[in-house]
Amino acid sequence: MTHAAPPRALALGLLWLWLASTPAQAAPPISDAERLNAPVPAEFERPQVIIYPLLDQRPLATGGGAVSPAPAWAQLIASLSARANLKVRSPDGSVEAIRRRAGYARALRLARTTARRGTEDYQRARLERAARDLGAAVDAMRELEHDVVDPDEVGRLILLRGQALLEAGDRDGALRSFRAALTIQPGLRLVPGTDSPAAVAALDAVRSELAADPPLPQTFRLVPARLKSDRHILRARIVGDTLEVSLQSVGGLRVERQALSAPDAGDRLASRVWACLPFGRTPIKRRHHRRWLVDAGFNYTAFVNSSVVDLFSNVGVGVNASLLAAPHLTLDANVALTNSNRDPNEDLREDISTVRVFAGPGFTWTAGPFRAGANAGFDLATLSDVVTTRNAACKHFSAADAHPLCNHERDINRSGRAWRAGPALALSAAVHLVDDIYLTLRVRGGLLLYESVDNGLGPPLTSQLNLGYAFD
Amino acid sequence: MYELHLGRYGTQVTGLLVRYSFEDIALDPYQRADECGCFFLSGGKARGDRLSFAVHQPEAPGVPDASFRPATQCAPSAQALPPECDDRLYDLTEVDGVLEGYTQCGDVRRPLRFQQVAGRPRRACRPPVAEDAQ
Repeated sequence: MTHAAPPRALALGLLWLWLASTPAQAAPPISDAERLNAPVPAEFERPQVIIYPLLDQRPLATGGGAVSPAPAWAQLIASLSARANLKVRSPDGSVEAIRRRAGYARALRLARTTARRGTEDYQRARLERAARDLGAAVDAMRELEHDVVDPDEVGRLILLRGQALLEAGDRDGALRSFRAALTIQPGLRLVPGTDSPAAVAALDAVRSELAADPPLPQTFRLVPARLKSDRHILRARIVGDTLEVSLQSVGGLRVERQALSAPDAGDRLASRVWACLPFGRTPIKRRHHRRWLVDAGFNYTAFVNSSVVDLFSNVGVGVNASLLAAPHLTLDANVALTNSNRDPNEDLREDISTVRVFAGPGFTWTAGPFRAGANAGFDLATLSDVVTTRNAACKHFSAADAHPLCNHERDINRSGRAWRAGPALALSAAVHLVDDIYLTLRVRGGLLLYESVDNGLGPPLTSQLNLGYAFD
Repeated sequence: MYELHLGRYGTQVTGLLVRYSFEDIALDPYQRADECGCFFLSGGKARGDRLSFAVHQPEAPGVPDASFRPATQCAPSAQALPPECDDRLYDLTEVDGVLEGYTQCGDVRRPLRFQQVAGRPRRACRPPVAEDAQ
């Protein structure tokens, strides 16, 4: 008993040392804030935030006077841009992206032509045509999002349309146009003494009405139908003393508001917006799993367009090995041994034995239990002697029979062994029956580039019905 | 009596026609004591169950060697044998294993009927040798 005490004490001592040393050796814990602000790897998939230009609605209440810039807006953009996990497109970048869209410049030219026609119509007091053309031009421009690029131009055209409607007697339509114009560009005004007093008064009345309750543009309320899941549109407006942000995502719409008077208003709002966004993710490296697919089964071959014999079948066995070298990419090798069957007129006097080898890369697609593939490669084949005759007497009687209508030397053709090579295309379809066992049908056709002997047989067309196994 | 040995290859027909000097012989393709001519067929065609062919060189049958007996020497009923002619045509149709039809020589046409019998088909007009009879 006394002999066991020293080892036990030693073991306890070592355990204590291990327990004592473990916390000291472990890495210090990382806070959530540190983790979220840590640099992201280059391959990190960052959510994209597309920021549209700010809609400042304060001029609605100022009577057209200048408003002080809102540093919170710049702060919001800067704060979001600083987040490593986000890919932020600035308002200027968004405008530039709209301008670079395919067909934008051409469509804008057409819209401006229509707008010029409408303006001329208005100047010549053709008010209905003016309203119609200006409306069409504005619709086309808004379709292009030109109201984002140049809200002043679009707003002015809407305003002019409102003036035409007002002069034409459509006061309700005019007021709707004035509301729309001020929604796009709150600073728009008519010039007293130059423009119609009635229009100036009507616009001012609309402005006063909107100043009390600034309208939320429709684009702020609707999530674009084709918005991608990794993209988020941020639209913002200033209403009174509040910066209001509308964040549009596939999942829905979220609105955040921040008083401009608060210290670090932009940063605060950016934090809340950031919290609403997905963090992004590091793409999972899909390590391709190489697989071997090996199948064997029946082979059926026909030589099409043969000059010495009518179409006949060749049956045999075949083996195919396919290596899934990369996603959708296979390397295939195929060997087939076949023997000829009778042709309809028995012109073929001896069986033809064929060995064919095919090798080539291909693409493969998988959908559930089904798989389809296409391979382009090279076909090499060797065929035994092709012995044919069209003379029935030569078919029935042997040379020893000395038939007067058959000259065996002359009437029977012998080609000798042939080697052939050429490009080939293989198409395959497979279905996985159970686990890794599959059934596949493969069809292959080729061209003859080289043949050591012209045996009169055309290019081969092969089909294979194989049962296979997929090896990991 | 005629003995027909046919080979059909798709739409082509070939074979042998052997003539015997008397009727009701017990057929034996290799017992040629009563054989009175062996002829190759030529121009044979087959369409479905219908066969047509001609006799090739009726005056120079098979292998004209020493054992061949021309019709005039076929005993005992050689006198009753119809003379052969060039371009004798046979037009036959198979019905239930029996070939029925006509043979025509010039304007003379007469019905013909071949009964199917078991036995090895003959592929040579030459006289039988030991290995043939095996």
